[in-house]
Amino acid sequence: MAGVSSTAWTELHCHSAFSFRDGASPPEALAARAAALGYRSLALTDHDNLCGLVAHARACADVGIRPIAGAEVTLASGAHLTLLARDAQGYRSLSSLLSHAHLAGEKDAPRITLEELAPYTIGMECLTGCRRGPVVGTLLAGNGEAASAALGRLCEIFGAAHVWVEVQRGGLADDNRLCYELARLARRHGLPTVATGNTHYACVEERDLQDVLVCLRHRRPLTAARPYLRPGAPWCLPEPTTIARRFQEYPGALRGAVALAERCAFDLSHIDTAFPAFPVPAGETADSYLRALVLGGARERYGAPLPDPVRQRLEHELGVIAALGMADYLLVVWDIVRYAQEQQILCQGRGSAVGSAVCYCLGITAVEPLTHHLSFERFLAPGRSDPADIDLDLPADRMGQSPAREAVIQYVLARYAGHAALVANVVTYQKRLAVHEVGMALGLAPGQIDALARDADLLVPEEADERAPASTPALLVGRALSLPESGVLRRLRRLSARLVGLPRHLSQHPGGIVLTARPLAEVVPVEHARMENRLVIQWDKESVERAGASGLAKVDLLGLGMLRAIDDCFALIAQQTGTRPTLHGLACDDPRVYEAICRGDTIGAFQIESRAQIAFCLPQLQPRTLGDLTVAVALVRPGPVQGNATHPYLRRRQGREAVRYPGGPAARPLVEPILADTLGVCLYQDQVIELCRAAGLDDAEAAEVRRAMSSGRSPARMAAVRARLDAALTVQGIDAAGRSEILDMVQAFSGYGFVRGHAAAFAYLAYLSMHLKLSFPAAFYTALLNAQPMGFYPTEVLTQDAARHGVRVLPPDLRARRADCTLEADGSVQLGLRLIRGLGADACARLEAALGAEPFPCDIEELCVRARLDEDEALALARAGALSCYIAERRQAMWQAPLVARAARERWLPSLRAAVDPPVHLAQPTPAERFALDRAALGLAPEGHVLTYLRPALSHRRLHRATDLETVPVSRMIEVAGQVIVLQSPPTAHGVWFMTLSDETGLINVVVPPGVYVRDRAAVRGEALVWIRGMVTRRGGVVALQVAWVRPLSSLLAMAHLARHARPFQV
Amino acid sequence: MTRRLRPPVPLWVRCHADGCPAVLRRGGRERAITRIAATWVRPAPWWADEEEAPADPLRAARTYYKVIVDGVAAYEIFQSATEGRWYIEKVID
Repeated sequence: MAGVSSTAWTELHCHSAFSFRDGASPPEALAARAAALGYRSLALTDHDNLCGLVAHARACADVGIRPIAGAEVTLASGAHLTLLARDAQGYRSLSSLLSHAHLAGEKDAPRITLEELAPYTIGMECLTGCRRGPVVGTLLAGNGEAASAALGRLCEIFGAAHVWVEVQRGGLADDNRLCYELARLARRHGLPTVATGNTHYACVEERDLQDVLVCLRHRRPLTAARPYLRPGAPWCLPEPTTIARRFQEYPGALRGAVALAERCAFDLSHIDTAFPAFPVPAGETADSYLRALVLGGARERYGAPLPDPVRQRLEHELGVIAALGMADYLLVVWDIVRYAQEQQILCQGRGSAVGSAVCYCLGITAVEPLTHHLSFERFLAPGRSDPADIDLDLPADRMGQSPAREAVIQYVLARYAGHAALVANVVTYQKRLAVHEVGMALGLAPGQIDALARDADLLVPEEADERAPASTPALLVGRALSLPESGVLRRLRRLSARLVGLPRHLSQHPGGIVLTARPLAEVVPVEHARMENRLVIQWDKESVERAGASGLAKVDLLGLGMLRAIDDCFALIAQQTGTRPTLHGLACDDPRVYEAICRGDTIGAFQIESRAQIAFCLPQLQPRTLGDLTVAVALVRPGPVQGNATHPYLRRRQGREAVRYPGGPAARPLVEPILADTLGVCLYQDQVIELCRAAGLDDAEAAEVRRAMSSGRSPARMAAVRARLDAALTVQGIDAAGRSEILDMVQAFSGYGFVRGHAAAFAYLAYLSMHLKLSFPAAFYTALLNAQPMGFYPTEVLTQDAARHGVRVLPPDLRARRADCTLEADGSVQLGLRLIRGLGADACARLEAALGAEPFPCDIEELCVRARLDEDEALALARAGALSCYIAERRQAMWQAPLVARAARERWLPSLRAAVDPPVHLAQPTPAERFALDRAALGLAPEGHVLTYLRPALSHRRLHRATDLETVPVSRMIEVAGQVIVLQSPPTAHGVWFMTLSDETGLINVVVPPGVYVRDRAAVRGEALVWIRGMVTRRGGVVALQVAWVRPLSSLLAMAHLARHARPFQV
Repeated sequence: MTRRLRPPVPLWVRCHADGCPAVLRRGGRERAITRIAATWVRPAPWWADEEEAPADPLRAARTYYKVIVDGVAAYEIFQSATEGRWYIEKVID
C-alpha cells in the first residue's frame, strides 16, 4: 500500500444492527472486531439514525479506538449519502438534519431533499455514498455528465473542502469500471477519494444472519430473496491486508480514509446535556425558590417548628442539591406533580427519590423517609456525576376514560416545547419471535413455524454456539416436526440464538421524558412517535444515561394500572359515602389488613398477589408493619433470589436460623452495619452500593455499580464491577472465600433488585390496595375489573376471589347501561358490557349512547336500530345473557337476536320477518350449560366455578379439594383436579415449573419438577383443566403438592364416562 | 459469441502470490493471463441443505475473474471457496 500503512486505514461507512434489518452486529461487536484488526478508529453510519451512537462511543472507548459519529442519510429521491460529524458543531448539524428529515416525513420514512441539507452542513464531511449514492447511481446508469453535475451540487452544498468521493470494492463485476470512473471524476473536480468497506457485520461468519435480516425486511424466504441479498464479497470489517489488496490501484483512496478519520474528532462530551432552567419568580434563584417550597411543605407535614432531625436532614439534602445544581430539575418535577394535583390526577414518586425528604416535602413522594430509614444517598450524593432520575406513577390510561397520564405528558411536552421528548425503547428480538422470523426466512411451513415458536425456550440455546449439541427437548420438538437436527433445525437454532437480542425497531419508553436547555433536536435526533402529538428521541434509556459527559436528565411518567384502579375505587367510595379518600396520609397500621396479608389473601393487591408471594413469601414472613411489607415487596425479586437472600431471610425471620454475615469474621465490621436490619442478607440495591463505598470504591465506581444493577443489568458490566470490588475487598484484608461470598451476593443483583425507597413506595400502595379490598370490597373489585388487563390474574380469578369475599357478581345486563362494571346499591358488582367477547370498543360506545338516551329501548329491535348492532354483536349480547330484560330465556334470545338485528339493518317488512322467524320454543339451559355459555361469552362464570359442575362426574375417583389440603398429612400421595390459573418457571427455578390451581373451594399450590415437566409437558402447558397426583409438602406453613404426574382432566372425565357405560347390564 | 459451459469445466490454473490467476491450461497448453478485466464474488447459498449435496464444490462461494488470455481470448473463470479448485464457466468470443 503506497504511502500509507495498511493498519492505518479505517472504516468510515459501517452499519450496525441499529440500521434495523440491514446490519447484523451490535456496535460492541463491531468495535471489538475493529480493535482486533488493528483499526485506530471506526465510524458508525447507520441508516438515518444515531440510535447506536452512544453504545458505539462507549464500546470504542472500552477497546481503545476512536469513535466517529455519522449516518447514512436517505434523501427524498431514495439516494444515500454518507455524512460524518467533524466536531461538536458537526454533531449538532447531523442531529438537527436527521430530526428535520424524520419530522418532515412519515414515521419510519424520513424525508429530506439535497437542497434541504444546506442549513445543516456546518461541521460535516460528506462522502458521495454507496451504489445508491447520487453520484454512483448516475454513473451506474451510464450518465457520466449527470454524475459530474451531482458531485458539483454536493460541493456547492457542503463546500469542496468537505466532499469526498467514496469508492467501494465489494466483489461485484463492475467494481473496476466504477472505481476507475469515480477516481477520474474526483480528479476532474479536484476532490480526494476515500475507500470504504460499507460494512454490514463484524465478521464473515455473520453473513448468514445478515441475509436472514434482509429476508425479514423484504418478507421473503431465502430461496426467493436472491435479488435482495447483498452480492459479492462478505460485507464485514475487512482485514487491513484485504483492504490493501482491494485498493492497491487506488492508494490515494486509502490515504483519503486515513486523512478523513483524522479530521473527524467526535467525542461524547460534545453532546450538550444541560438541563433547562425552571422559570422562578423575580428575585429568586432556583435554589432559593426550592428551599422556600420545601420548608413550606415540611411545615405542613411535620408541623412548626420542624423537629431537629428533619431540619438537619433537609439542610443536608438542600446543600447536596445546590452543590450538584439539581434545583432546576427538582422544580420541574415539583411543577409536574403540582399540575397533576390541580387536575385531580393521582401521582406518586417511586424509585430512589422516595429516600429524599425534599421530595417528600414537595409532595413528590408519599412515604416519610426518616421514619422508614430511607437513604438519600441512593438518590443524590456529593460527587455523583450521573443524572438524577425521578419516576412518577400516574394512573394508567384506559380506553373510554379521560387520559390522565397522557394529559400530564402533554403538559410537559407543551411547556418545554422543542426541549422535551420521550425516550425511545429499543425493541429486540426475543426467542419466540426469533424462531418465527428465522423459520420464515428458511422457508418453513407456517404450521411448523408456529409449533417451533411455541417451544422456542427449548429450541434456542442461550449461547449461539454452533458446536453445542441440541438438548433433548429440542431434538424431540424437531423430530415431532420431522426436522433433522443436522439440517434446517440446526440452522434455525443457531440463527435464532444469534438473532435474539438484536434490535428490531424503535418504540417509546413507557414514560421517560428528557429535557434539555439546548434545542433537543441538536442534542439527539427527534422523530414522531406512533401516538399522536408525541415526539420520541432516538436514544433508549441506557444511551440517555450515558450520553455526553454526565447523561441526560429525565423524568419518568409511568402508567400504573393499580393507581388507575385506586383512582376508580376512590370515585366509587365517594359515590357510596360522600367522601373521597386521599392517596397520601394512610397510617398503615390496621391489624386486620396484616392478618389478611399473612394468610396470603392478597389476590388483586398491588405487588403482593403473585404466586410466589401468596404461596411462599407472605405466609412465612408474616408482615405486621409497612417495613415488613417493604421487605416482602423487595424479597421476591430476581436479585435477592439469585443472591440466595430470600430463603435465609425467611428462615432467620422465623428464628429457624441464626443471623450470619457474608465474608467471614474479617468482613463483619464492614458488612454488619449495612446488613444488620435485613438479618445479614442483601435485599436492596442501596445496600450493595453502601457495601461498595465501605469497601473503598469511589463515587464514580459506585455509580457504575448502580448503573450495572439498574440500567442494563448487564452481566458483563457486573463482572467488571466484581473485579474492581474484589481488589477493594482484598485491601480490606478479607480472605478469598469471604471475598467470593460477598462478590457473589453483589453480582446476583445484576438480576435486578429494588431500591429500599422504591420498595417502600410500592409497599404503601400494596397496603392501600389491601385496605380497600377489605374495607370496600365491592368498590375495590369493581374498580379492579375496570382496570383490566393488569396484575397477575385474569378476570375470572378476580371474580372468583370476589365471590369468596362475599361480593355478588352479576352477569352483564343492558339495564346497567354501562360498558364498565358498576357498583350496585346493594353492594354487588354488575359486570359491564365491555367484558362480553365479540363486542369491540366501538360497539360498546354505540350501546352506551343508545342505552343512555331516554326512553330505554322498548325491545331488541329498537336496541338494534339505535345501537346499529350487527348480527354478531346481537348474538354476543344474547349469549352473555345481557338481553334478559327483553327475553328471559337465553337460548330463545340467542335464536332471535341475530335475526332481529338483520331485520332491523335490512329493514325487513313484518311479513318477511314472520316468515323467516317463526316462533320457536327452546329448552332452558341447565346450570352447567349456562356456565359453558358464560365462559364462552365472558371468559368467566359469575355463577360458580367449573369444578362445581364437574365434581359429580369425578365422584368415582378420590379427589381432594383445596380446603382439604390443610388436614392431609405431609408426604401423603393424593390426587386433585383444578383449573390452571398460574403457570410459570422463573429463570431462578432451574427448570422447576410452578402452577396454581383453583377449584370451587380455593387455590392449590403445585410444584412440577423438571423431569415431570419434560414428560407431561403437553398437559402442563396446554391444558386448562388438569388432574394431578402429587405428594403433600408443608414448609414454613405453606402447603404444596410435589407432582408425580399431570394429566388432562378430560382423560379422567372420559374414564368416568367409560366407567358408567361399561356395565354389561342395565338396572 | 459467448458460450456458457454447463456444468462449469474444471481448469488448471497457476496463481500469483496474491492469489490472482496467472496462467491457465486450455487446449492442452499453458497460456498466460495477460489481464484481469474484472473480479467479483458470488456468495454461496448457505441455506441449501448440505445433506442433499454434502460437498458439492459448485454450491460453495465463488470468486470470479474475467480474464484475457494471450491478449486475445476472454474467459470467465472462478475459484470455489471450499476446495480451492478452478473452473471455467464462460468463453467470450
